[in-house]
Amino acid sequence: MIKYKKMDFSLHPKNIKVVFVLLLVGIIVLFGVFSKPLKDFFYLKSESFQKILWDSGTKVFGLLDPIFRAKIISQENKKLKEENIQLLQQIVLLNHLKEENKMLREALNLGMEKEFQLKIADVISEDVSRDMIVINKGAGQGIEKGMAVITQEKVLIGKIEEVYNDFSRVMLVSDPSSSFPVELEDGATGLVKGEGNYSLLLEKIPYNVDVKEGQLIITNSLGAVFPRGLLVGKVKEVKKTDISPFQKIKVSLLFNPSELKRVFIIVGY
Amino acid sequence: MKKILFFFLFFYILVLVENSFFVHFKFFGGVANLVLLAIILIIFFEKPKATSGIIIAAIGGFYLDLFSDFWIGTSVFLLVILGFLAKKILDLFHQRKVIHFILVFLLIFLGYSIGISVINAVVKSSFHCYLRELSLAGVIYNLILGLFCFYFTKLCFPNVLEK
Repeated sequence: MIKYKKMDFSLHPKNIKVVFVLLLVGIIVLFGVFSKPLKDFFYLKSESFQKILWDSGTKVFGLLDPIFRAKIISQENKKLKEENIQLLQQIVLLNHLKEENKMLREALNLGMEKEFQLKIADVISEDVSRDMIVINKGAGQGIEKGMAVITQEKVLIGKIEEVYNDFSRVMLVSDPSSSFPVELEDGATGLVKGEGNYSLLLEKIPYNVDVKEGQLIITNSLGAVFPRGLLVGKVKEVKKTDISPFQKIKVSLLFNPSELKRVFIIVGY
Repeated sequence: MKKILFFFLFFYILVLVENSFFVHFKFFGGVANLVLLAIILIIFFEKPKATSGIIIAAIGGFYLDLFSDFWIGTSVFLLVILGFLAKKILDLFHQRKVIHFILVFLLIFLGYSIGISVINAVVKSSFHCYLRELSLAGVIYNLILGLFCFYFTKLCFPNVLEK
């Protein structure tokens, strides 16, 4: 007859610590595997509360901001007035060109310009660790990774980085992982790179290209990252050094992430 | 158990307030990290032999991961280690003064920021420094908020620091 040795299941105090660590690692891995549905669930359950908080934050910020930035606002106001006069002159010119363009289109029978297919979404929160926002549209509403996100003024905000069932994480153009081809108003092409903390840098613009402060930057179709013609930013500061063949250009964003309430996702173009 | 459940709810509300409300109030790009501040305060003010601060740090870490693009478990792991280290350091002191609070704050805050950046760099093969907390403005902003909470706690609970 075979005799079996009795197994000892009691744990030494030292082994309890090992079991605890293994249990912790197990839980972490388990949560990691179910990360996406878990995040989606929590976003869904907190959406309405987050929307209230986001709107309240925007309102309170809107009330307090002028107090802290009174001097800057006064300077901005002066600058905007000057820009406004210049823009009015441009509008007159553009209206004339629009008429001319319309006539040419009719003459050439080009038809209507292709419109973007858009989906509207609300901003519900911001990721404090990166330049990212969370919107309340996801895979369930036809959103896919890589889609461009814009404002109603066709200003590029960023692109969809992560898609959940009802939510998506949007990587802003200023995130350090963001980089895409752009062009200046005069046609010079370069690369816009995010620097984090809502800063942008325009690179690969040759030394001899004349870049002026205030010049607008738009997306171009190279690399097929974004549709052509979306506004990216405005030239803030130009630095030229003899060491580098390229200029170092700081770019300011054309939107304030804290004031974003509603955005558009380009689902087709 | 009641305590744990309370902190599950507390950190859930805190992380929502942080990500959707306080995120509008930036100081030179620095953002208030309320969850991390709460963890630091709890670990600092709890009784020397108590261990619930570590569990609370894990709960806070869970919510930090849940509402960011980190793999769930990253912050849990980091905060458990940092919480444990902070408690070991606090054991060395007979008294708990503001200077000790600043020390614990810097250990957990910078340790977490650097830890997350390193993990991100390894996981995403990118050496960008993602965390805004690593900026000087972010550290100062959160330290001011932390000191305010420190004195507020001392004012409301004068005996809290007695061993």
